Amino acid sequence: MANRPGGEFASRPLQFMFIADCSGSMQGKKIESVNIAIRESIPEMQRVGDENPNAQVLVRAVRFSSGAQWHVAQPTDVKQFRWADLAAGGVTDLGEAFGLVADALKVENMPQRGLPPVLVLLSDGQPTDNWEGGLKSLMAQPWGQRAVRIAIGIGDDFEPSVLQKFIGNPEVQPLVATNAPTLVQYIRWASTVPLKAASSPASRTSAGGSGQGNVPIPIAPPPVTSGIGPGDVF
Amino acid sequence: MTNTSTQAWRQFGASVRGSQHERSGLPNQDSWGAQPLSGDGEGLVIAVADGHGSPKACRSAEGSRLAVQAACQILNEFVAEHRSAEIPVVKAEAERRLASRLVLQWRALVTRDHATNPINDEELSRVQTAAGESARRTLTEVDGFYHAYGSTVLAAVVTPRFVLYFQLGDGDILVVPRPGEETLRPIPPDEHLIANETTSLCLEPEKAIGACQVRFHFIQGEFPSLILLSSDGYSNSFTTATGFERVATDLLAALQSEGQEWVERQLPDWLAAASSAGSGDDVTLAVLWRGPAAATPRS
Repeated sequence: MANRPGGEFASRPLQFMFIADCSGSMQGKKIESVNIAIRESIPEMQRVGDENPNAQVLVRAVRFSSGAQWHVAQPTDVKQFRWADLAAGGVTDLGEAFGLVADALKVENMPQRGLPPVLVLLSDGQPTDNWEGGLKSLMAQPWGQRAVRIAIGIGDDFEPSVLQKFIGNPEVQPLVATNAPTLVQYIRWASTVPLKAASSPASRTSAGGSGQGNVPIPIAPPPVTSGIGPGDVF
Repeated sequence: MTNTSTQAWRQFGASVRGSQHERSGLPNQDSWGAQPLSGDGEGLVIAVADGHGSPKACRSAEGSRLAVQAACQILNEFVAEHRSAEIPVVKAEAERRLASRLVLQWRALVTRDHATNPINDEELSRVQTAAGESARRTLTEVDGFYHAYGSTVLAAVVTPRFVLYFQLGDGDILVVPRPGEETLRPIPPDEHLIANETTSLCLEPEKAIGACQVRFHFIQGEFPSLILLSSDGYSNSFTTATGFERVATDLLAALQSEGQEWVERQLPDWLAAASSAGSGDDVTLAVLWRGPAAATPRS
């Protein structure tokens, strides 16, 4: 091909973040299922990346219990992404987790040509800090408003209204996993289907900064109800 | 080459289906067009439009085609109506009225298209499957069908006395004032348009009109050497804004050294390479430049 005009080409960055509850109540089967599910989802995420080569999927993870920290701090190309197990213990400082994500999504930290970020929140309980303040700071970021936000409630003790406020779209409900196979299924779904939707180059008219997000996401499958062993129920 | 009376406005362009659309079976949703100005006097109008391509915008390929048609028609009419007007009057009228005229003309064209071919149940069912019940509901509300045709629009018109730039939504307008000079942007990028969000012709008229940007450049001496309009599939393919802006100066250099015919032959491959290695989106580019006066501009 004759020398073409302009500089270098590159696929468009897509930030994918797990926001994982590691409080004490997640100990045992719950955190074990989260670790298994995320590890098992990686090949599927890589497959989605291969099928959508114009999106460069960059994965990060936040863990929160007493405080919040980056579990995977650097945006990591999904082709090189490896999962180190989370451990559980402590309280549920969801607000601090939102604050970390808000910082990461500040305009100055995001590429202008980026695709909508995908945020997947996993939680089993009630927040123990100022989660509303943290969510407000996240939704004050233009990239936070436009992110695809998915929430998975684990067990019976999580607060649905918190997860619903995070999602910010009344037409999208939190996914509820009351057993290990369902949690694995939902994490696998959340790691791939919204990722594929956000990878599309299609434009959408502004949602007016409402925070409702603008990427149409297919409906998740129903919970797993067969083949559930007694030890699988949370 | 200097900007002299032995030169004339020349135009060309190309549009390629995005590599992502090739994989998914969607058509090219971009359009572009050019028209000579009617009446006496040299001049051209060009336009580029980018149909949204989202599941809800199920007719946005047609929407972008109608956007180009509306832009060329309205700008042509505007120039003809103000051929003898004083420059300050032309500028004021452009800034005051062009946006509403163009938006309303697009809506009129879409209304006519939809009247002869209403959105059918099959289309609505596909929208619902891909984008959910609320998207389907939007299209069935009063005046909701405009969203099916959603598109951006960029346009430029060059006349002996002035150049006008028009933009609604994402995409880019680049200008090279003179050979060897840096690329300028008469309309700066809207920093609110991120994460594939855009303003659009399909918004409620007041919002669409309010989102339009018009820039007027009074010609005193020299015309710009090159004006380039492109859909965002092109700029989103480059690693940096500077790398994208270099397209305008590189293209002008190629036009001057190799000629327009050579550039036109390469252009589809260049745009396809951008989509494939970059955004995956449809890529469309239209150019006005000061070239040799011997060739007759094509419409």
